[in-house]
Amino acid sequence: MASDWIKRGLVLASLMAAGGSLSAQVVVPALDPTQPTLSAGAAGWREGDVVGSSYSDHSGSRKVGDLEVIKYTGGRLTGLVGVQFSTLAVELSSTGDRPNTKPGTGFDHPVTLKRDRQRASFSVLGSDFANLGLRTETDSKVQWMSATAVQVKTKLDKTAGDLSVKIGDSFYAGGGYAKVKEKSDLTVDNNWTETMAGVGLRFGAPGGSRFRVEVGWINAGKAVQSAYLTKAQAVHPATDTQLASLELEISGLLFSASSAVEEENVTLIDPVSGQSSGVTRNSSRGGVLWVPKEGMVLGFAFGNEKVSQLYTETFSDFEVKLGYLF
Amino acid sequence: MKHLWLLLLGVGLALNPGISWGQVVTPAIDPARPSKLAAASSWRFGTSVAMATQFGGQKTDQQKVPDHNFGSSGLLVIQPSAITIELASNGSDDLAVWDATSDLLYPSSQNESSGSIAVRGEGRVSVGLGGISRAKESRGIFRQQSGFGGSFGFRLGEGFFGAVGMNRITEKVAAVEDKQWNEMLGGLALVYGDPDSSMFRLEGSLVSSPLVAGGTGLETIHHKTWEQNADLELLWSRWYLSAGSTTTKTFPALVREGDQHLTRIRYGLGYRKLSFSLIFYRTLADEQLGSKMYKERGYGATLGFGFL
Repeated sequence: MASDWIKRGLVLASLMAAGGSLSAQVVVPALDPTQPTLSAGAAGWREGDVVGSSYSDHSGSRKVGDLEVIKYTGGRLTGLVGVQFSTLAVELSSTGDRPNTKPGTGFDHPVTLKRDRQRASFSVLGSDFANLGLRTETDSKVQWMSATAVQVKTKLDKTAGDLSVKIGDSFYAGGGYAKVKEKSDLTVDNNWTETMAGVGLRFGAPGGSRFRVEVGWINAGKAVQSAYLTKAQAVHPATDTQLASLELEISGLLFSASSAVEEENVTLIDPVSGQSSGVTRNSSRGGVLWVPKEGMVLGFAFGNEKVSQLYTETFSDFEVKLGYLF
Repeated sequence: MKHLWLLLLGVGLALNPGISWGQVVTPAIDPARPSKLAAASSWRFGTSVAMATQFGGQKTDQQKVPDHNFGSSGLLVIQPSAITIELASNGSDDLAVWDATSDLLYPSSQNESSGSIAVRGEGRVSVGLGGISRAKESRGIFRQQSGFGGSFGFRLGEGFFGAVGMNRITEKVAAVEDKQWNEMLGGLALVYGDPDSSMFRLEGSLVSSPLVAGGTGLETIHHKTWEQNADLELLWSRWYLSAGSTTTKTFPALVREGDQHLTRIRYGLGYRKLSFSLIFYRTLADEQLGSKMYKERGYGATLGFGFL
């Protein structure tokens, strides 16, 4: 039973590696300057230097059928710096997750104990027409898997190249390609590729009334590595993610909404009931933020998330944001 | 001047509890009353420091607690520009709380500290963040609550205001699982006039908090509550008059409990100009569960200094 949950946990871990607080920022950055972008090319379209931070507090549960098996609580701290030079834009961000859920005696469900992500994006700016970006990301996680695997470390290293093109005054389009390497205490090393694409519209100038909408897609390939010596087989299923983001800013007051749907091309079989299930993750966020042309940025956001597979996990979170635009 | 500030802040924060009727949409004309939502503090009239204290008696059909100090509070507002920072502290070490089920009064202590930062945009919108820490002790149960929240407010026309916000609260009680809930706040207000001469303010607001129950013991329960506030203030040639009410309905969490209704009424009279305010209050509170009644009668005073 425990090994089944380990496999399920690794599947979920892979899924979550692509996730976090996903918001469509593949080709143009959010009007909320405290949000890290998903691609370096998008970060190049930032309209000023920024220092940002946010703290979110979440709670949730995992249910198997109607039975609640885990309660989740925890916090996430994010920091971001975005600066622009004459032809180069740099964005650095770091996110730390600190769940409070502690496995107890008789516990047989994988639980994330700690997670840290660091991202660095570098974008070469091309005459207000195209940005060529390079991005690196490290995602480290410590998970409790079973009574015999209490501190399983998993690390993902992602290197991505991307392009974002501006057509006319307001239309943006682009895409990118990423190579992902995974190392785990439990499984053999694995690697796979990711492609992303997006289109977006952004109207208005900083400090005034503005509007932004973007849709994006991320696809990750399937990768299987055979077991070797003491390490188990590594499986990363193919995943499809659809992203959408909508923002409206009126005289500095920004209202934002975003959604993400991630589907994993895998069929899981419950070892007890024999019931089969795919893996889907739906998340949505909404927020209010004060964004001046220059000065202090502050606001808050709400989020909801649901993971459906052999079990169902639901989360809700509340996030406060504070930053400064230079 | 610097030393005066430090002295006033020190006195205010040391005194603790008292008159802490929070304002959800707009700050009260009485500058000593703190804002429940950070976004409300944006509409304050400059930097100020204030303190308050309250006395009174409490009784049920069977018990009576003679007049004593309910507690005191201190407030510091720093408003250098479009940014407003508000720090508040209030508490009481000598308050009795009514247990409606047993109809008995129990000794209690309550302390609360809060801080907020808000930004006002073009005199039309306000966005704020706040943090709060509360400690409550009664019947041997020590509850430590901490939380943070976000809010935004707006002004339409000359004097119509609205605001909504949320506080996310975490409660820790020894030996039981931590509880978390979201406290939702919202309201509307009308404010006209000049705080240094004549002014009118009318505000209505709602605060709701859900039931969180991890068991049947008192320490495992946070009751669902629904609070309605109404506040009317008049400033006429710097003379201050006010009337306000807060009605709190506490919903039952257990079969043995019933709906509790607490109504607090307050009347204020005093003098207020931008640099100085002194206001006296009369407070009346009645709480009911079936035929059981709890009564509280109090007197209070607030003192404020403004530095616009």
